[in-house]
Amino acid sequence: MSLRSRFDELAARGARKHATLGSATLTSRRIYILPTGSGLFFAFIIGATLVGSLNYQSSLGFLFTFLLASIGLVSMVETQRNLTGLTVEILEPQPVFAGEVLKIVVTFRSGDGRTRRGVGVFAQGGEAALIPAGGEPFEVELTAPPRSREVGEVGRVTLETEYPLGLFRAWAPVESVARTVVYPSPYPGAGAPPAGGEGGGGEGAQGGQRGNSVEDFYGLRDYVTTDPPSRVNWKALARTGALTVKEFEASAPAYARLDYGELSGTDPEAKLSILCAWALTAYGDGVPLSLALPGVEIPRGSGQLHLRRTLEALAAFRP
Amino acid sequence: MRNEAGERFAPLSLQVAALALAWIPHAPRFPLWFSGVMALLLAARLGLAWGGLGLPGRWMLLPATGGASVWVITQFRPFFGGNGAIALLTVMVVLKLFEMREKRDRIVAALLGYVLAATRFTYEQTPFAALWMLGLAFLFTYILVESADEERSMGVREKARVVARLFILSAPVALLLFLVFPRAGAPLFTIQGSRHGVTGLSEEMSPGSVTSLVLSEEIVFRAELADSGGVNPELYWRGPVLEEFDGVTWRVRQKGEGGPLPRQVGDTLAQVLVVQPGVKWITPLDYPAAVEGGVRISPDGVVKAGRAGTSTATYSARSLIGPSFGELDGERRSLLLKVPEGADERVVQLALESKAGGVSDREIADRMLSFFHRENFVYTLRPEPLGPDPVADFLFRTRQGFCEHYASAMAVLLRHAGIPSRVVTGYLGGEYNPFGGHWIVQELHSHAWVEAWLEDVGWTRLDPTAAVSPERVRAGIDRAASLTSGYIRFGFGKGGFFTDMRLAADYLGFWWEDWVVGFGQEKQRRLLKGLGLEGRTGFAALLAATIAAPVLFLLLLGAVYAKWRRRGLDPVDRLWKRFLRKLEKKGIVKAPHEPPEEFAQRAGALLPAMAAEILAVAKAYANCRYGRDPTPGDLAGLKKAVDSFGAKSAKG
Repeated sequence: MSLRSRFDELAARGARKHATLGSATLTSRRIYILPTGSGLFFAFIIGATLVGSLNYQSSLGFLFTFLLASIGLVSMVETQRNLTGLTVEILEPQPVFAGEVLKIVVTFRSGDGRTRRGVGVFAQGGEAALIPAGGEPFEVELTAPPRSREVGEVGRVTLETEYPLGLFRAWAPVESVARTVVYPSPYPGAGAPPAGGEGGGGEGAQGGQRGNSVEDFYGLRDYVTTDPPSRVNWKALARTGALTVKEFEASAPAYARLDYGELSGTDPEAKLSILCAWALTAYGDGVPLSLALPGVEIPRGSGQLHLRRTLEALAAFRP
Repeated sequence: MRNEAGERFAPLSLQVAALALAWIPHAPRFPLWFSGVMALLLAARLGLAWGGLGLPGRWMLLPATGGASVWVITQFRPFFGGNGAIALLTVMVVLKLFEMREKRDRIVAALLGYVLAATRFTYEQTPFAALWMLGLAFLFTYILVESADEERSMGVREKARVVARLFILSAPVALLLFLVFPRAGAPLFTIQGSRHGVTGLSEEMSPGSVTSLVLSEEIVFRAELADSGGVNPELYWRGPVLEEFDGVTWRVRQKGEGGPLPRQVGDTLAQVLVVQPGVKWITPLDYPAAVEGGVRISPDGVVKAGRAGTSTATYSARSLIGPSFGELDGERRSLLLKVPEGADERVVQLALESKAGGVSDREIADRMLSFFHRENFVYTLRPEPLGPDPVADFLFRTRQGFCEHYASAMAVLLRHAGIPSRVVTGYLGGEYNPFGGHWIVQELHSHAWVEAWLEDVGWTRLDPTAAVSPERVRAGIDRAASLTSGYIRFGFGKGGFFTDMRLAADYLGFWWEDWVVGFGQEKQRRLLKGLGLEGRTGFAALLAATIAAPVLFLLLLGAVYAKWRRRGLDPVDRLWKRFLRKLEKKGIVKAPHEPPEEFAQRAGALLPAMAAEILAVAKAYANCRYGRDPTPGDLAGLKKAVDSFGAKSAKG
């Protein structure tokens, strides 16, 4: 296998030149081809029948040796042709947390409507999925093994096939620069995030992991669309059928203050993990949050987009 | 044991069937028990799959394979070159079927099956064998496709189509390689093949021993004669020369080399002889001057065939067809004058009568021939048996017989008259096949005649049988024999449709043996010479061509496919591109970023006369490409617009 992986590396270096963000169409230049183990055995068989024919001076022996050899060679062209003209589009995958499996969606289009058979596709280290045969465009979801926290690229997605005779393997690596974002995995026992308050007093006095006083019930008001579901008064709804939202007394709008510098400990990954967990908790409670990392400041905000920005900052952070 | 065997029953049964078909032609050469054991194993394998049972593990297969190999090697002796190797291969393939777990195992089994089928060509190369193999090649390739199709997405028809396409594309390369691959003269090492029974002429003759040959339709050889310029040569094909006679039996001279080859006098006629396997003598036309093909002409003009082979052998020869020639030394002379002791008086008397008057040797011979013609000699295939002095008995009592009798008697008479003579055996005539332009010579054409040394003339062929029934010399025995009693042959020589069919089939067979099976160094040279490539027949050149041919073909194939890909573009785009090309010819080039309608406006400004047309095409294209529901009619409209674009101005 080492020979093959060496070829893979060479091929990848070549493919880097064609790194794509959007779609890539496979041309014969991007496709590499080598005999498989069966192909080598096939060559051995040809050699044996050739020697036999030479020895017996058997004309028909020659003829069928050459026929077999020709079939093998022509199949090489067919194997490569099974990949040419295939258009591949690698979409930017959804962000995941560290340790989770990355799902990459790849769209295929057969350039000239030809049916492709036996084409497998896999992301680096992932399992191969088979492209369904047929000329229609289709999607395949690839799984790549769990990654650690990073903001990176999808990297190499390889298509390969051994159609039609299994004697040759043609493969085409596609280097995708589509972004992969892997958030740190949330620390399980992080608890509630520290509260920040207006007027500065909150910062010094409230450190650590005490919950903020979000629980002081204030009153009810009508539901508006932006309210998170966790604040809806479900009991009241059951009773009265009206959607209302609990309002809490906030000691000057409470928000979660996520500060990297304030965390103790030496492991940066652990710290990021904690921050991530807090961010999720805060979001879940509908509390605005802010993030402070060395070199990155995200002011207070709420909503899904804000959360994503925060998580991405955590993912991208280089300690 | 995993139960995966049961899932793949259909492909497995195909493998088994293909293997059985590969084996069947071999079966007659093998003991029945061997075929039986193989059949049992195959059935067992099918049974395992049918019953959904698992395959035996490695621990069982390895010793089984080893044991089977030893068993085969001990059972089949000698091992190499005979059935032993084929038997071992068969056992290996059958056992391989028990080891099929992944794709690669199936491919290996199919390829081994292919080799097994091909081993047939070590002993048989008939057209039927070739067709059988072609079918098997198709089947095994199908199995390869099936093995590679792991997700089972291809139907039977599609797999067959793939195989057909592979075959069609491979055929030209295979043929080219067949013609160009350098052929060696001799095999790499000698194999003791199985020997056929030797039929045909022999090195002794007792009048009466040729009877069994006469009726045999077995083909001895086929011959193509070069154009002899309008002269129809007499078709005497020269075989063994018998010089010693003991009163009953004529034999080939037992000792001595014989004299030098006669001087070549006169024109030679070229021939190509395709000789059946097992035939001991190569019989060119009387008198052979040169034979190519690794054989020697003895000083008596006899050519013995080489090692007994298993396929036909082709020889080129040249024969003298002109007048007499040659020499005779003293030692030979006395041998050829030797008459057995105690010769019958009447025989001696007859000889002396022929000599009377001090006439020339030629005249003596003619007198003897007219004796045969004049007297009531009868030609028959069923003569009366002859007494202890066959010659005298024949000449004066029975006066019936066939070529052996006549030749023997005449040679004896000539010797008594002091003319050195001997009996030459061989063949006379043959059946002409108009389709192939060649002669078919069968055992029934065997003949014996006399060769005498006539003073002032030299070696001369004399055929006393011809003196009796002239028919025989020209038309062949069936016609002659039909004139006499004792003729029991039917069918042969009947004219009409069946004869034509038979001759056509024979022509195919001849052509097959000559050009396909017999394609060797000489034929290759001839072919290349015919193509004008005479200088390039060296080994290195041919080897280079062998390597170049498939490479070039693959490049060609790749180029053709690339062209197809371009044509395979979406028809709308194709038409649009065609339109753009037309405009390019007028000097208007569309920039890549320009949308079609904008471009149409710009083009219209540059070519005001065709502005309306250009716009129309662009609109039609936009509709087809980006429109909501383009109909086939829209596409047709676009095609029409593109095709007719520019035509008006050309006419105008």
